[in-house]
Amino acid sequence: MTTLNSPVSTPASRPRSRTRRVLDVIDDRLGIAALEYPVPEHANNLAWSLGGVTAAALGILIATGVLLVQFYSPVPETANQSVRHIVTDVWGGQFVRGVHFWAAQAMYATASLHLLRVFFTGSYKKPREANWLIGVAMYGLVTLGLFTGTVLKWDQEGFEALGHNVEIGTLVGGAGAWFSPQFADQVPILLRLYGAHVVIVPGLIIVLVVLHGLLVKKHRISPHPSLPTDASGEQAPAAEPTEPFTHHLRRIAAFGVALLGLLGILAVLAPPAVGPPPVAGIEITKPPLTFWWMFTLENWIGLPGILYGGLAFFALLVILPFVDRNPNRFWRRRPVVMAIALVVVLAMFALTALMAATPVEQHLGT
Amino acid sequence: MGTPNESARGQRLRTKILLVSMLTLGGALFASPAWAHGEGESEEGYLLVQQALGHLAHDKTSDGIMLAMEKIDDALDAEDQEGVDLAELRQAKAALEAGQTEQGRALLQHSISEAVSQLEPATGDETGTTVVLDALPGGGSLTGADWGVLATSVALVLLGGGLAWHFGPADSVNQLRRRLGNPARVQPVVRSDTRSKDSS
Repeated sequence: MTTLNSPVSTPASRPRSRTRRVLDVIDDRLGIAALEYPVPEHANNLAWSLGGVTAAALGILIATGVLLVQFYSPVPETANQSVRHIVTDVWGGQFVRGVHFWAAQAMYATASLHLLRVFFTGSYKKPREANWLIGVAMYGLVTLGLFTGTVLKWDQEGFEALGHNVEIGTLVGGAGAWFSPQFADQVPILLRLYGAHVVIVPGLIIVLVVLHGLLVKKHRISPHPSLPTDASGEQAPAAEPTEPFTHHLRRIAAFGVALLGLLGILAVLAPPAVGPPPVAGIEITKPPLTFWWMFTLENWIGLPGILYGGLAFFALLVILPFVDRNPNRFWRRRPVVMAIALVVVLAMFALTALMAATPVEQHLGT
Repeated sequence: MGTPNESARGQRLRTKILLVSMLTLGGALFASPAWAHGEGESEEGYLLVQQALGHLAHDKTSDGIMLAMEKIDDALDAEDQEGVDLAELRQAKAALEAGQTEQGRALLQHSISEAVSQLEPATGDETGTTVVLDALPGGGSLTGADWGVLATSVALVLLGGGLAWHFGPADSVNQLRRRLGNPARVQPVVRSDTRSKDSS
């Protein structure tokens, strides 16, 4: 069995197959074997593979997104109609849009679960603080991707989401200038959000994914909190069995295949609707489920509630590794942060549940 | 425990982070609210008619019709009625009052034909909407192709699940814990200055 102290290698005496030789030729040129670095065995369970599953969802989103942009028109006059055209006239369009929609929800869900796993296992602690911040930034970008995707369908729900964002942009003054229609007053803001959705957001996510992966390699997979660590307390023990990282990727790919199947089922059985084209000056829809907790705050204190809620949530995530100096990773030995996290998560669930029972209120233009 | 210098540096860093966080939050909290577009109720007749159509497209119950009627009344009283056919608007109102919702919607849409035909290409956060259509529902009865895709998707779930099981780790965390020992039963981690620096 391989351990952290023993390199992963193939005995030179073993006869090499033709396929192996071809792969070796490729590897000599591309250095793929560099991915075969050892990772502790606990990293191969599902909870520790959620980041990889999130990356698989990103891959599905990019593939389906590339198909959708061939038929989508990012112009206010025709955007809603082009989505209807994709759904009703383009062969397979409804399915591809459905997979794209559900992959976005899946990415948000798996990113949230990954974040929770990293939190509960203390994997953000020294020396992995920077990688936690990169993860938080990616989480923010995933949220931004969901938001811009909601706007792009250019129905009443998307337009109201945009309206909230424009007004929040005004609330924060200069910091929100990009979201102001006056930023480029000869260009529809829909077009700029389209650029953000298809280039800026996924581009930044990909850059951060690469950095995230490089830092995972540099700092190694964090130790499991219910297993012993090495002397530093920051790494898995040398005695823990390891597997090549490529085996980790292989299992993530398998999860990705299952995820693709699940998204296909959802796309067929629960394809997303397209709302009526937008009308300015009315507020009659509820936002997507993922934003409900913030909109309950809006119902209580007005539009700034969304801003304060979102800022407070991300501020907590950003400062976490700097204020939590407890070196223990096991959850029972971290009562303070666990209690705070429980309160935050319960509050978000409660606010979401309240939104379900709350009628739509007019906040835009009031 | 760190050295006094390290502790002081850490304390200064934490203070800076807290200050930046507080300033960011404080700036947001005390930013002056700039409500909406500062325009309140629309005075444009055609937009009020579109709003009536929006209510009808989203809510076909009596509540939606009532809200639409309010907008129609506002449109009939609006100062700016350019491009709105008031006679058709009144017919639309009468149709809605008579419970003929679809006819009312058609008349409403037709009453603003001239106004929407004069709209410039949308810029900024203008909607560019000329016709308020019904929502396009997502679900429906499954076609033969849908069943084929569904079967393929189920096969992918099974294939992926099977491969994930096949490629799974040889030991569960419980097995590893039995083999390596359980740190939860040993003393908690305590920071030490003598920690090895080359461990990562």
